[in-house]
Amino acid sequence: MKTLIEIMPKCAHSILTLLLILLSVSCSKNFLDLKNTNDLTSDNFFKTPRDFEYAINAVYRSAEGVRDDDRQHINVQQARGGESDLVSVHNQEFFNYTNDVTNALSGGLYANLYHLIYRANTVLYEMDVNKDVQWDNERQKELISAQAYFFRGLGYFYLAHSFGEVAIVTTPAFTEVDRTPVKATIPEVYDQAIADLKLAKAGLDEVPDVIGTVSKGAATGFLGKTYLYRASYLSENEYYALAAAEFKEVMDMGIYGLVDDYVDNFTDKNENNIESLFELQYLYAPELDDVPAQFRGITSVPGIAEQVVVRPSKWLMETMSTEKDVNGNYDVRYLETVYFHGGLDLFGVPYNQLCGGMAVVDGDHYEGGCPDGSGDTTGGYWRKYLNVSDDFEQVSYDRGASNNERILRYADILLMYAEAEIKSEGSLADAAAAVKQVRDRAHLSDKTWTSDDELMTEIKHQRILEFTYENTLYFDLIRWGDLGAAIQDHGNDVQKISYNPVKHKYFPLPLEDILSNKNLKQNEAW
Amino acid sequence: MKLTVLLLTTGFLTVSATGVSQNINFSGKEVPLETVFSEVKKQTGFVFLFSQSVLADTKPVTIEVSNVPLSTFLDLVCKNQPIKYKIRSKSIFISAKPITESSNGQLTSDGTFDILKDTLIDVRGRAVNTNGSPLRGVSIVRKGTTTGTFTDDQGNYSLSNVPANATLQFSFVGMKMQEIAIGNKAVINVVMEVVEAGMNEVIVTGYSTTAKKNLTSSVASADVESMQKKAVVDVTQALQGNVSGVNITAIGGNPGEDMVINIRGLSSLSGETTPLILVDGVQVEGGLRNINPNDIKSIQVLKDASSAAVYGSRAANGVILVTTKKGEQNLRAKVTYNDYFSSQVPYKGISVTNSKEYTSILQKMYGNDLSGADNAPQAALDYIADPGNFSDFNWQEAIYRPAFMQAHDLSVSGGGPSGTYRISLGNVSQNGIALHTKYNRTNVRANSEFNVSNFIKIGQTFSYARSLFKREPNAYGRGLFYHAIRMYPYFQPKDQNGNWQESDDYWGGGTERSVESGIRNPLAFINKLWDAAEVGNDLAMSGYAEITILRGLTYKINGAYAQIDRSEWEKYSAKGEEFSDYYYSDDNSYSRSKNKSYNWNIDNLLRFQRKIGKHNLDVTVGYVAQKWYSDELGGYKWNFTSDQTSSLDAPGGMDPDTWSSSTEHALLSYLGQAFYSYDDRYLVTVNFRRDGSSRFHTGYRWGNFPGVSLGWRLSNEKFWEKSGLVNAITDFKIRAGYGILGRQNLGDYDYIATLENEYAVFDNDPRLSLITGNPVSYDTKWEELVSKTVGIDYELFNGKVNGSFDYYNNETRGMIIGVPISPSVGGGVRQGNLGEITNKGFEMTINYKNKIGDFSYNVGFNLSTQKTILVNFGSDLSTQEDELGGDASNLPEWDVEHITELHKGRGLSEFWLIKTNGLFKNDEEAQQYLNKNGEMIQPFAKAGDIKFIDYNGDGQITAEGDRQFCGTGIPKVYAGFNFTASYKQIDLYIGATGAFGQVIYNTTRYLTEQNHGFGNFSTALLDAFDPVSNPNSNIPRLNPDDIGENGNTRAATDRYIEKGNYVKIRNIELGYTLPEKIEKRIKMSSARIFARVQNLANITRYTGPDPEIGGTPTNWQAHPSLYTAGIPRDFTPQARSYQFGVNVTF
Repeated sequence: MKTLIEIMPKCAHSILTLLLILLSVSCSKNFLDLKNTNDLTSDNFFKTPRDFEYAINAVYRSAEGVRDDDRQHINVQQARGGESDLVSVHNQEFFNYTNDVTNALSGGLYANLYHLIYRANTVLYEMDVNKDVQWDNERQKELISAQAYFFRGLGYFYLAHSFGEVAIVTTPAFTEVDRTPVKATIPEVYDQAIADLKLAKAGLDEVPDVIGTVSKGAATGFLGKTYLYRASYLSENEYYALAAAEFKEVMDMGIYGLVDDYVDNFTDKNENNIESLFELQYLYAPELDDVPAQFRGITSVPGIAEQVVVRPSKWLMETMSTEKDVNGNYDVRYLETVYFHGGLDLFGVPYNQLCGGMAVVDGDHYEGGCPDGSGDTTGGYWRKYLNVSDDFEQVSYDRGASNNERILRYADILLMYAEAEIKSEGSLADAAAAVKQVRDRAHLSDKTWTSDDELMTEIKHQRILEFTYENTLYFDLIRWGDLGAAIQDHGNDVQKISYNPVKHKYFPLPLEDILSNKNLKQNEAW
Repeated sequence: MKLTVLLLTTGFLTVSATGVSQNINFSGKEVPLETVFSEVKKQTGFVFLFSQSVLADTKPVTIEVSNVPLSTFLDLVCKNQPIKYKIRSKSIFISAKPITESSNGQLTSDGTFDILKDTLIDVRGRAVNTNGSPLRGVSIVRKGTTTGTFTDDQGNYSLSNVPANATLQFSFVGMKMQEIAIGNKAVINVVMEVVEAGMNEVIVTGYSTTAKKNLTSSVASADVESMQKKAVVDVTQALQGNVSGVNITAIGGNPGEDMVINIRGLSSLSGETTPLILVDGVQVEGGLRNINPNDIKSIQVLKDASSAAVYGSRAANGVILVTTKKGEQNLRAKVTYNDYFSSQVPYKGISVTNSKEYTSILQKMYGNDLSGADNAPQAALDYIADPGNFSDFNWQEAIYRPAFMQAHDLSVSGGGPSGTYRISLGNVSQNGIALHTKYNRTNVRANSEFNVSNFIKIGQTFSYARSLFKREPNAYGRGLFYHAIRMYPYFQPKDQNGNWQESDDYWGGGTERSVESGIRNPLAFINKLWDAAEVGNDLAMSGYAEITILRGLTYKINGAYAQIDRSEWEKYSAKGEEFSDYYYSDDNSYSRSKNKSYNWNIDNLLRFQRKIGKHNLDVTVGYVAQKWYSDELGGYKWNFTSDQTSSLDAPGGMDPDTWSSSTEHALLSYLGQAFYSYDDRYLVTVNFRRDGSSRFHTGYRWGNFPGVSLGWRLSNEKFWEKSGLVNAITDFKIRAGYGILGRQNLGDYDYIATLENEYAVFDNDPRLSLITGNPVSYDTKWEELVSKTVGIDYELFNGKVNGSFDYYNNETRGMIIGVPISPSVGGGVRQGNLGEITNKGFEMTINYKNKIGDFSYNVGFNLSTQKTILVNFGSDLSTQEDELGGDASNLPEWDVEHITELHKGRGLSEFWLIKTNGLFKNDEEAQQYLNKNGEMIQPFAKAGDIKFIDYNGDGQITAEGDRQFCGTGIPKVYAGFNFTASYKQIDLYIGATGAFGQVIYNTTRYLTEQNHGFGNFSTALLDAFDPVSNPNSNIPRLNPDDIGENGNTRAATDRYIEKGNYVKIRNIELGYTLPEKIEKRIKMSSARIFARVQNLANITRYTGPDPEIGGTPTNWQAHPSLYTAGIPRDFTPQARSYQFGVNVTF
């Protein structure tokens, strides 16, 4: 057989063939690196400052998680502090302190907070790895990262006092090591919140260019609040002075004050006003997909509510109605917070004409109620956060509202300052002056306090009047160590039996988190 | 010299005289001559006479022949040996070859002097088949040249002036090629033998080949011949019951539906579970459906990792290697034509009530005037008032029809010395028995191969298939069968004016979504409202070049491209008022979509084969690059001016909806395969493959998949022969294999995070936000299947019986399943390597062939068992609702929810139901069925109600607490049986398959034995319990309030569980080959006519339509066998068909 071998030297032929093989083998190095062309993906994003602006917007969006979807969580959580009675059959375990580690309300809050942190981490991580972004200027870059730090700090602040020992996560998770962080101690979680908020405070503007973005004031306020919570939750009294100093700084900025009209804190009429340090921005815009809107209405009042979940408690209404203002009227804060017989109309419907409700059914409005005034004259419904500046015609249970949710108000700064000042053995006079500002806005008569304890009692009372239904009372009671007494005083029978001050100081870590991360352990009390 | 020639000639002539009746079968490698001689002696009785010194310089020989004349055999034995032979009477004399100088004194290549080189002689002879019939068209070529001829009609040939030392090659399609040295013979007759599958069959093992006898792993070879006797449209159907361990289930009896192929059990819960299919080295993604069965030459199935490892990823589900036919070298053009016609007989249907019976059941429940019923259908009242106004309509007869089918196949093949070709054209056209169903396919295939030079060979394959597929309509969300069994018997498809009518409140239907409202006129749907079709254009091609670099070293480059193109359209016409319900799409709508998926691969293979003494080495290394693409584009509009619209641009269309997607993934692989054997006794195969997939993140992209298998042929050991075992067990081999295979069951871009898109608001100004969604996982890696197999191959009594036995244990480790990500690191679900699943089983095949005079027959039987255990699938218990996100609205409109469950540590599709214990014969019995508090366990129970078992003993019957295991829908044992026989001109084939050990939830019974609602009933309800007139019945009493009371008709009970064992007689074929005389008269080289029956009978105790439970006509299901094996739903049973056809060759 005459093979090629006989025609050309053996090695030449072999080399030729081997070359051919090598040529065909030396395929493009990037052969296995493929792009997903169907979706927007992170690997071709985070390349321009505009991309980072989109990304930081997304962090703002997830900040609404501190209030949870549909307000179920927040309403029931508030109810735990005695503000409300839970009238829905759902979530009774949570309300009654018989919840377990599978509870969806606390679990939902936990997931939301970490989602906020995950997004903030994503922004910070991508800024770190994408070194060649052409920033317009350094300040632009600094502002983006300061906002991300703010929200991460906010997340850890909530985690620290709501859940206690949790994992500190500061990068996105890609591998098993990332996905299985270990738990930190509670002081470490506070430390993380404090460190982040300090970075935010350093990087943010006092008056941001874009209304609605976070400011130095917001970071300073939350830093103070974090110190205060740390001091009171952990009995680390040295943090009271730090807290007072931060609040003082906010007060000295000269850009914050109390709005004259208390109701301006809750409607879409006067948003982002001088009293607001940080608020969740809502807009009812059904023409666009997925714009965040205010949905408190769906749980508040018959006819507007799909189902009324919580009603103000008898105790609350008594507490709020005791001190009349200088004109002998109910405290404006009571009137604007609760819809009750003898109070203000809601969407033009007097309480005693409410009857079966607002009569908004399937989006059709018709005059309902009991025009003869024969309707319910006992109990009340929540009025705060219903966007009372809306027309009755606009109100419907499936329609959101545009009013922002205020998360940190100047009134809170004043009362927290007063508290921190007293607890850090500061000036009683300065503390009293701050409380006076809050009372004055409510048209209450002048009052003097002779001791820290006396003023502290007033602060506690004012906080109820001022912030009820704003998700503070429950945590205040825990901070002050008053929750047990409050439950014994005006809680229901189940609560009295099941409440355990050690166990219920914090919510449990959700079971799903324990199951999917072998390094996590449940809080001891759970 | 002359003397030598004379002597030799004399010798040959002598042989030819005696050799005719003395044929030799011999197979062996490196066999010493003494052994050869003793074997010849055994077979012929001839005695060898020689002195030992003569054999001193001889070499062992490797020869495989069967039934060759003694002389031919001895020529082969003495070839290149320093010996010659003479035959005298019954003796064979062996003597040393005289060292003589040839005329020019040349030394031949084998070191002896060629004495015949320059002698030119004339040769003639005759070629016959084993029956002695002459063969026309056998090619005879002088080896190494292009000179040759063909046999004539009498099988005769003659060649002039051929060198006496030349070798002739005799070849004929489908028969073994024979090489015969002329050796100065003037007459050379040959008996051509049909190629038979046996130990010498060449098996494709990955990128190389080996003889079956040397296999060390589980590779099964399908019996293509018997497969081609099953007139099937889809090759998959023919594979059913043909290969042990390969379990194939039809989705239903509709033509063109894909079938579910599963090898050695389901070993992964996500992604592809079908085997890798390669046709001539081209990866075919769309299954075997669009391949012309007549083009297939061989099918091999690699079942274990030790063999499949060379295919790395995708091979974990097993590999099916299909080789198509090629032309044969040096053969004149041969034309083959096959065709058959078939009539499919509609399925008879189940027994439902007629109008009179139907209304009588209603009357029993609701009183004679039906006044006890809420919303009794007015039609029923009218019927009762005046039955004469109505006539019965048999709905099952209306949806199933006799259906015609035909198939034609034409091929031309042949070849010269420089190349071969084969071209085929096929068409099959099948109507299904269910209305509207149809499948029509045209295939073209062209294969060729060319010898460019002695060391370069190039070749190509090409195939194209165009198909038209009309699936069974998803009529109002259900299959036709559902409507047919539930439709009110007095309801006519058309009203008095000849218009299609729809059921409504009058008839007993409703517009609210309920079981009732789903009952609609399927004929109206098909004829008036809806039409749809799918057209496929499939293309596959490959080209290769093979270069011999050195002796034994070859380089092969193979490039392949395959494409599946599907174009679908669906239209609805204006429904009109009477058709208004939510099951129906928009008026005059038209949607159209195009799907194209294609892939290419380039294989570079270097193969080295060398045999040194008893050592045999065969090594292949390779490098393969492969890429897959998928493209989709679709559009939809409605409100066209006309319902005849076939374009999205037609007038009037509105609300356009468009969609598109395009994805790709790539794979790079390095592979190696080495086979080593010593003396054909000790066999080792080592495979290795390193795969890199684009679906994994850079750091986790590469997986290594080794496989090793060992074999020991005991039958080649000396002791085997000495002990005499060899007389009974001709061949015996034990083997064991171990291997790891990978799966990349991931989305194409799972490690690349996609962005979420929402709005954030700043002071009432909505602004776009974009950010990475839930975390992605970088560290997801290859899922691994660890496969262990031990087995034996045996051949008894000289090949009369052969078979194999295997035990396998497959473990899938690091199975990729959806795993929740901790909320604290971002939440969501990732694809993680957490699952584990094992499969174990036995497989056996046994074939027996025998010949008694003119009667020869072959019986094949195979059996396999499988047991799947879900060691870890991420949870302890899962139902289909869980799988679908815990949202029952994601469930298909399934008749019965939550009857199967998956439990950790148990199997697939297990029925967990409340067990029942007959009926309460009287009220007292029910009242005495008490819990420990003395309360009735079934508080509403009366005589004629079902007694349920309170399994957890909590004193009440609940679906949560009282479920017990009631069997699994997955068969434990599969079996296949094939019988072929021939007697003179007649041949017969019988094929059967069976499945055993499974149960079936008879949904048909469940649907028709419900006594609530107004859909039609099973005739079983006519026998319902009645305390007075029918106290011994097993059918519960007709209680219209049953749902709120005892719940006799609840779904989650074992009442509808039936044994699912079955044996199906799938094919019987009787053929008649025309006698030669007639063939010749009509100028054919062979002609055969045949008749067949397909799906003759189901032998089963299952009472539903078809115990072979596949899927559903509406292809919603992702994992049919996980939860739904054993739950039939609406599918069309496989039809019986009668066929008649011819095969002719010119």
